[in-house]
Amino acid sequence: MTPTDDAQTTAKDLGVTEIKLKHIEEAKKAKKRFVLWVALVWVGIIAVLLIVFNEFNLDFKFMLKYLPFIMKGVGTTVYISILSIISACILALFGALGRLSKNPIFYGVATFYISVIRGTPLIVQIFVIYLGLPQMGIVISAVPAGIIALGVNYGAYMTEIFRAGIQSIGRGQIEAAHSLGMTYTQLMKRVVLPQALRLVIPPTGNEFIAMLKDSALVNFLGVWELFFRAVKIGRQNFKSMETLIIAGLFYWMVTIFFQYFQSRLETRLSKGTRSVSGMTH
Amino acid sequence: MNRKRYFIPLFLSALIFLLWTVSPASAGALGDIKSKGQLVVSSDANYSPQSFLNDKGQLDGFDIDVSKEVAKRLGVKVKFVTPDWDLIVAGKWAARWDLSIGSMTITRARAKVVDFSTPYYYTPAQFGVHKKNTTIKKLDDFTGKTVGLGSGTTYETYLDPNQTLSMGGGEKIAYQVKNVKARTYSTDMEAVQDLALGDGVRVDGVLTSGFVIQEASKKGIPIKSVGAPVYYEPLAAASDKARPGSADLVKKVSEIFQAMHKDGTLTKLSMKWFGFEVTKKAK
Repeated sequence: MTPTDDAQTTAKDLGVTEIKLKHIEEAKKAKKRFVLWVALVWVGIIAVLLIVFNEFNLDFKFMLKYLPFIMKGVGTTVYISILSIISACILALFGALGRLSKNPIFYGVATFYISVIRGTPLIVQIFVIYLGLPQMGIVISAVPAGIIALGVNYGAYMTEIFRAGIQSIGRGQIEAAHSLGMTYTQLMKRVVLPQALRLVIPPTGNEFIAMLKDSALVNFLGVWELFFRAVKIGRQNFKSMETLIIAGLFYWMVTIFFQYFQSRLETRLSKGTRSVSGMTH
Repeated sequence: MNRKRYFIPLFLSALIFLLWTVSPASAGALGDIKSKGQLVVSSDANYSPQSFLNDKGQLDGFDIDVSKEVAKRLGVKVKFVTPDWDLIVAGKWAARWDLSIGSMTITRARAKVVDFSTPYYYTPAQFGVHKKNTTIKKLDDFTGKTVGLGSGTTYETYLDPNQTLSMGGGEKIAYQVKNVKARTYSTDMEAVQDLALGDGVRVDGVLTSGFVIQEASKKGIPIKSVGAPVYYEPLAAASDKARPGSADLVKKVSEIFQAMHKDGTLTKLSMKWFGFEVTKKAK
């Protein structure tokens, strides 16, 4: 009786594939247990929060009455955020190209833009754009002014994301494109941007989720989004806490919804990378 | 040298320069309103019963009804916008809206950026305390106390030792309180809600419109008035001074208000929303 004998018999009995299967099954079980525990923790925290909220003396009848009215702001909040993130992406792309440019004018404009926007509060930018543009003869109403402000603000932060994406493309690929005689535009369009996009999308989703909540700031311009509706109803009934909690819950739900899509998109994109790297190895 | 490289920045600077110099032509405020067939009114929808969101989520209240009547008498449709109060009183509206019919008090400082019509109603400025308070019984008792109020209101000016509140008619306001610490909130309503937390928890009292105290009390907030109103504010429509034809617009609105005072329309609306007469000058 030697340990090697023993090992040989088990190997014979089970077979390599069976051992593998057993491992997978155990991993699956462990994962299930993990998910179950996480769910339990969440339920526990929610229960504690409900007890705390109960201490707030909230008027639930009042909350139910105005819930539909506040909910109508979800659409406005989401569409302002979507239009803003689109303009932010366009600005970020140009910002990143400028940031990487060897032309002093483009580089100067891009770095100045990033510096000023990242160095000033979003609320200041919203008011400056809303009040300032008319002084130049451009009179835009509250919604477009808000979208421009959010787009310009997030564009500056996202410039760094886009720059990192572009810089991640190997030097070799760029040299290869050059040696094929591609122009700068061709190189960007055909080689760099399609690959950079994969790296840029997940953090952009993250920015979008942050934007959903920052869009509350455009309420000052009189846009009837989630926060505006909650504040107005709360004030005139002297029950601001009730309505703000409703708004908070809606922001949370919208965020969960978009987070789900973001994580799915991320998995899909990472799958692509794995199969590509698998092929080259 | 590559010429194309400089084309975009040059083009952009030219565009900005163009936008800078070209300003929209205007036939004067009144002419614009008539030709558009629409009067755009700004309203600060934070105060019931003046301007608030009703059960259907629509703007409703005394100011809203007055605005509708003014538009009717101008022969145009009415549209409401709801920018922040600070944006309304700051002037420079860029013709985004034509008129403020939002219970704005006529003051000298505001008259520098907006043109005022004649008043359409009057509101009492009133001190209030928590229902359980027993120490503050008269205005003198507010000495050294903290009072909550809304930002950009006449109440803020009234309690600011560096400013003197002066109404449009030039009447001086007699100060009946001394050394009161002001605590500023984004609107009066936050001040009232903070007072509701308890006597002296965050503020010892509030200075707001008598109507706000009345409405709060009606909605179950533990609040009571202290003393007689410290002053009466004349409230009027306002128009952006920077806009061509602004003076003509408020002149026309003043005429409409006078007619509405005379034929009892304003009194009728006052009874509908306040339950008593607020459109006649008090004292």
